[in-house]
Amino acid sequence: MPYMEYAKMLEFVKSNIDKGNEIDVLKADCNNIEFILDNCEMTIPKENVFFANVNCDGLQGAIIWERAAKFKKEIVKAGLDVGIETKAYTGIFDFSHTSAEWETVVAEGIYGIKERLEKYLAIAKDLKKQRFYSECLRVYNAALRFIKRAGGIAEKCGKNEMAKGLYNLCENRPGNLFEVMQTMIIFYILQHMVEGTYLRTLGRLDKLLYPYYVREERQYAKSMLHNFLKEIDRLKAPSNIPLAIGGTDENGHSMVNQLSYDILDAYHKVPTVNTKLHLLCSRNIPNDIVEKALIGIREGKNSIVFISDEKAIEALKKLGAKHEDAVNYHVVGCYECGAAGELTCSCNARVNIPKALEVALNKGKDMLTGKKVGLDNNGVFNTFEELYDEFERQLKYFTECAMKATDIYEQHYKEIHSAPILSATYLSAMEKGGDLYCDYAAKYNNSSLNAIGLATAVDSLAAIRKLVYEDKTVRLAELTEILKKNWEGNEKLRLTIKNKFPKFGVGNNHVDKLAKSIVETLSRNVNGKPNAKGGVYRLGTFSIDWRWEFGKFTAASADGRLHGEPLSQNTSATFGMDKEGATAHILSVTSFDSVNTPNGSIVDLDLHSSSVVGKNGLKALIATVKTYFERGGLAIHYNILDTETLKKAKKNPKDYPNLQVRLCGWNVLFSSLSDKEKDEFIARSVR
Amino acid sequence: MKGMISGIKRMEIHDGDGLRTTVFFKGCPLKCIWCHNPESIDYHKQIAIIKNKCILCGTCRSVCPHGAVYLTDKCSQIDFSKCVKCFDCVNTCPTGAMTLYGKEYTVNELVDILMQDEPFFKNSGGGVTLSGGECLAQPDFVVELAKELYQKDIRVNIDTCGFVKQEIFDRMIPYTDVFLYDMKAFDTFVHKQCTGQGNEIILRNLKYLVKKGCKIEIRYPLVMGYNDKECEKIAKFLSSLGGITKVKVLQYHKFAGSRYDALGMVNTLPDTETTYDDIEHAVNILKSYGLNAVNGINN
Repeated sequence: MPYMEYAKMLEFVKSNIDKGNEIDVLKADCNNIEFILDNCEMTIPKENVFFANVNCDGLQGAIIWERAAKFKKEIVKAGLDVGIETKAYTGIFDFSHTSAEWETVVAEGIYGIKERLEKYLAIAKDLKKQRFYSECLRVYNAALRFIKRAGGIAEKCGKNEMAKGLYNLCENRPGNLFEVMQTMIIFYILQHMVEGTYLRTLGRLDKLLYPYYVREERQYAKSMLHNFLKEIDRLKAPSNIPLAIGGTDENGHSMVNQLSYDILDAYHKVPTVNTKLHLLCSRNIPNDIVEKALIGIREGKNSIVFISDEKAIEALKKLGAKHEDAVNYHVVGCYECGAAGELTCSCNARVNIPKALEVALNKGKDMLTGKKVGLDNNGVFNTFEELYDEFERQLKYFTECAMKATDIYEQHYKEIHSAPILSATYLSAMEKGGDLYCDYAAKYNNSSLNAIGLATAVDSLAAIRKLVYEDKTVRLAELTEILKKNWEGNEKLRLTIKNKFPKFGVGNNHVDKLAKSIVETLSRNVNGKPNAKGGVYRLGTFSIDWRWEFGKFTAASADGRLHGEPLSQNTSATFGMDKEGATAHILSVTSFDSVNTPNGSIVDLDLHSSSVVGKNGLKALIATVKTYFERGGLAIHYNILDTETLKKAKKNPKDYPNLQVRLCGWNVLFSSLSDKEKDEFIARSVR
Repeated sequence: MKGMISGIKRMEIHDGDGLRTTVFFKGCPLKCIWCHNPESIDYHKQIAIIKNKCILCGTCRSVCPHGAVYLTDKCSQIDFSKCVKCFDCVNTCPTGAMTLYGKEYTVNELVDILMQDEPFFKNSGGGVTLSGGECLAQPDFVVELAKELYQKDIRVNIDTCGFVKQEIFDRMIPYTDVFLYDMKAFDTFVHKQCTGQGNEIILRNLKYLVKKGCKIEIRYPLVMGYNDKECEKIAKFLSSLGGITKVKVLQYHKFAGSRYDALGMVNTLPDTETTYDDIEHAVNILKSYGLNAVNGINN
């Protein structure tokens, strides 16, 4: 089969970037997508049961940033560039982190969606709507040609079953488990490799596949499930591909079924680095499935996150999702839940919480560059409360700036990106006759703000309260100078604060109250605030690996952290500061209600493998999950590590090719980490 | 009334059912040569110097009012003949290299700490374990504490070497869920060699607890070349008692070695660590006597 070289395709795709004039993004994208579908290289390796290999990843993605670049001048004009450069806050578009309406994809297939588009087009009177449907139709027809082409290759390779399935899907809705799974893989390729975004969830897999799964002979179905996961793993998506099992229906009944267990089994058995599994835990979830997941984690399958079904639903409803949509949520990234019908966008704006304290101490200026990124003050705070209020004032300002920056990009979506493939699965987009991005056609068009470095900020505030206002051993102005000089000449003070001062993560109420107060204030400033798309903002307190980058740009902090060291991870205690162990850590992290963090809050529990061995170790682990959820936590995950193994793996990576650790929101091979990161994991595993 | 505590460990899984908080009482009537908790042998407060944490900043030396602290090229050291135990050195050490073992708590203070993990106890069938050292060596305090916890519906396990007066057991029984009872040797001569005391009282107390119908889990720390030959005799004795719910064979290892150094104590630890297979062997002997024996490494 003839195909076009990747470089040549890239040339074509790039010719569709706006060269200064307004262009019709939907039309340009559809031209590109049609072109890619008709010309991309596709291969079917011998071992494949499903068709899954194309060579066009990143083509469309490459032009998104180029299109967006021209709005930088609006950021500058709004005076937000310095704050962004100094990593006080950032704001950007997010075309990943959402879900297809998988029920439609599975029930209709590519063929059925094409037919649906034809029906809508036939009755559309409005020109704009007609144009939308016909552009989508053009793309879906190309997708059907693409599937047919794949069928031809399968036939040539002697893969008759695969070919038969692919040909069927060109003219029919998926009719059996194989065809449904093949459809899901094809759709994943279409939205990710062709349409040009990444990190899209596979949705609630046990619910989606169950009707087809039970119709097949059990052993065959199980082997298909294994093959499906293997093939999904080969898609090699950055930050993993999420999939979820469990949860509840509209009446609160548990949705766990036989397939949920089989998915978990397959997940334990199939070697996979590129997928991540979310177990949606309702109060009535069967104990044995939680146990099964924890046993898997203990055996090294670290990429399982436990989500509180109750809290996820409550938080989404509070943001305005209808009950039936909130219950039918999906996990669109590492920990972020999105309601059915919501274009979630969970990674837009970010604020640096410790930086708000940095500028509060430094009269509104960044300590590293001296540039003004915050609000003016006179630097005099007679009580801790005065300082704290000033910190919150700066933090509020940062959140406003971060949302403003996000709004700038989001109000220009129709000049940056369209998603005809994804949009055609959404009922709301069909009804409205518009694109999810260009026309904000989702039922809920929300945006997000993540606040980073909560524990670093809490520990710093607690340190200042004790040092300056209670013990009165150092004056605030002196401390500010010490921090500006990165603790130089004050190592004893730094170590004393780091090792001996009260910290977040040990269940100390006095300190934990600061975390509660910060999160509640952030929640008031962010949750429900209108965005540029007719939706609202959602607050999250996860940092993922941004904490390394933000740490580089954050001056020394009063908790004893040096300039450049990473900020605290996610909603967890600063590494090494959870000195009372996992239970105390959980008590601290649940000191605030996670309904305040609909965009996600998560605690990372690091445990040494010897501390959770045997049946009793399992009981203890289950108790940590249960208690965390009972106390109002949203998401929790584990790294169960053995120091000796990690040390050996660092020394002789070749002996440990499959050792995985959970980096922050996804799994990675230990061997792929930098030495610095490896050392951090080794330090975390020591107990 | 105050109790002298050497440490509190939360989320512990090795001292009874479920997730537990274990309180280590300071002071013990025995001196087992293999002791894993050397900081719990002496009844009084002790300073430990953790060498690898010391940065030789000299803070301890400068604050010591009696010139008891001096610096070597590796770390700070204390001349205990001059030390008056004011602990200024411990309190000002920036890294925690100078650490204090031994903190006094009232019953209420300790209960407040122990109740923090109550939800975890309830969700795992766990509770509190009072250990040591020998917790029953501080009888008035331990009875008050156990009673208070019992009244708050917290299940209390007592980890004991058994070398205490019988009347103390009488006072403890109403508030105790399970006795984790040490069995180090059957032969009193071997027992004396390993622990410094004969075991007549220990065996008598165990029989008494069985007679009283208490739940008892035996713990047998297996140390090769010291008490491994006792296994058969222990098995015979225990099976003759009846009413023993479980026998856990514990691994001996040398992890505590650095703590002996830090505390300035003579390191008495035997050289040979117990292997998994050693324990399996002992477990099989115990099982052959009809006992519910388990390997402490993974149970």
